[in-house]
Amino acid sequence: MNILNATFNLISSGDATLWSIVFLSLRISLSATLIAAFFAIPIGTSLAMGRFTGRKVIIMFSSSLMALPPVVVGLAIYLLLSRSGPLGEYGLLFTPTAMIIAQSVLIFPIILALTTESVSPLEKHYRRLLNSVDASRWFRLKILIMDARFSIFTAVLAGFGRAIAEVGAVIIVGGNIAGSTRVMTTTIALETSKGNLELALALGIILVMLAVGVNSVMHIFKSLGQKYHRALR
Amino acid sequence: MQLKFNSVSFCQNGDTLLGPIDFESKIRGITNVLGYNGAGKSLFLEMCHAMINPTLGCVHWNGNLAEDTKYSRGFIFQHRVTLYRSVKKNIALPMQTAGWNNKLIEDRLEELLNMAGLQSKSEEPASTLSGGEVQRMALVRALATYPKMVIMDEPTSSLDPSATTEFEKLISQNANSGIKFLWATHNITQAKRFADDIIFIADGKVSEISEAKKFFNNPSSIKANNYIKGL
Repeated sequence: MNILNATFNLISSGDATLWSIVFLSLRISLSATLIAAFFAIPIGTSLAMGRFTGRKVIIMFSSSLMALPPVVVGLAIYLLLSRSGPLGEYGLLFTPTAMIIAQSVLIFPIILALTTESVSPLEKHYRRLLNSVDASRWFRLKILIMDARFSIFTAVLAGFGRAIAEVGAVIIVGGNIAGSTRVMTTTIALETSKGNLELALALGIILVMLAVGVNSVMHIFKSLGQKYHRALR
Repeated sequence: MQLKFNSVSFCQNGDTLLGPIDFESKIRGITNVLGYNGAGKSLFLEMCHAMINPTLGCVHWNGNLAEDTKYSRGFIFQHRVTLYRSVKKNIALPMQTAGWNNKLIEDRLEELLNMAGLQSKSEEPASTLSGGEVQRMALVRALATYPKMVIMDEPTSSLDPSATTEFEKLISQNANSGIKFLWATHNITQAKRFADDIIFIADGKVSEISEAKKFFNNPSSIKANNYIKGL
């Protein structure tokens, strides 16, 4: 009971350390989500639009990348950013930027695969009509993203959910440095091992609330999207 | 408008579904495309509009490749083919792809909704329209950017007589104002009433091109004769 009281005190008192960790986590994961979505949405939509040899193989490959082990992604980014790596000269290792890169790489396939999956049936329905009005590739991309926006937003939220809860990759490339690269998940791992359960539990509660919140928003958007599409189809 | 099929064939999985077709003809007024089910009418029309590329040969309109002149034609499908959007947004589609500004689009929409008698339904989802309304919407969508030619693939095949009459009225109005129609139909009576010329397709080939009167009175092939007699 003492631990629980201390935990809730920590949350409600606006503890600077705790909230700076929460905000850093949000900043890193939101940035990673935005970067991954910026690339994954148009590429995923293009994949749904494309009619070229090897398309199915690419879709299958990108879907299988959803299961990328975070520690392996972390290791790959570590090797890339380490002093002797190809991008070592930029000094990004153990910075929030490195963590953003790692999370972007990790969630890119998730947003990509879910976008392709949700745009494909719409593209199939629209293809002949858009072909008949001589729609450019750019126009097709815009109209498909626009009309599949609810499903695509759900894909982006799924990516964010994966990013915020991820620990393996960010601990390798971030280094878990206090005040600089310590995020919720890595702090929970560290503080639990040190026996500082109040901070770990407080962050755990916030993380669970965030995860539940993101999932709830996902469901709301999903049902809004279904409702919207039912009305239009 | 001069339509030219230059040694055109379309093959799929080793089968020749259309062609070889080699002809040149002036499309004037309303030209009906007739033929038995599976003769290749839809394929023929989609090639005329460069929606399908021939396996061999090429299609020209007035000496230009069909794919380079898509903007000068409209196309109407046999079945309900719409965006999951409002009626207004569906009609605006070709104007948007042609890069018109919003003011121009709004002004033209007004005229088109009026023409189709769909003003009161402009904000409703296209999916809520009846079959007749959908085809009238498709017609004004095809006419939106002032095309010289509209290609129609059996647009009235699933309409009731009253919706067909309304649709035909719109076709007559626009044909009188100089728009050419290349129109596939199975309705011989309809073709007799509207067609200036007939293109008869049999077994994936253009079997006959002639004036409607001549075609119906004195078809040059046995197949066409049988088709007219409903055999």
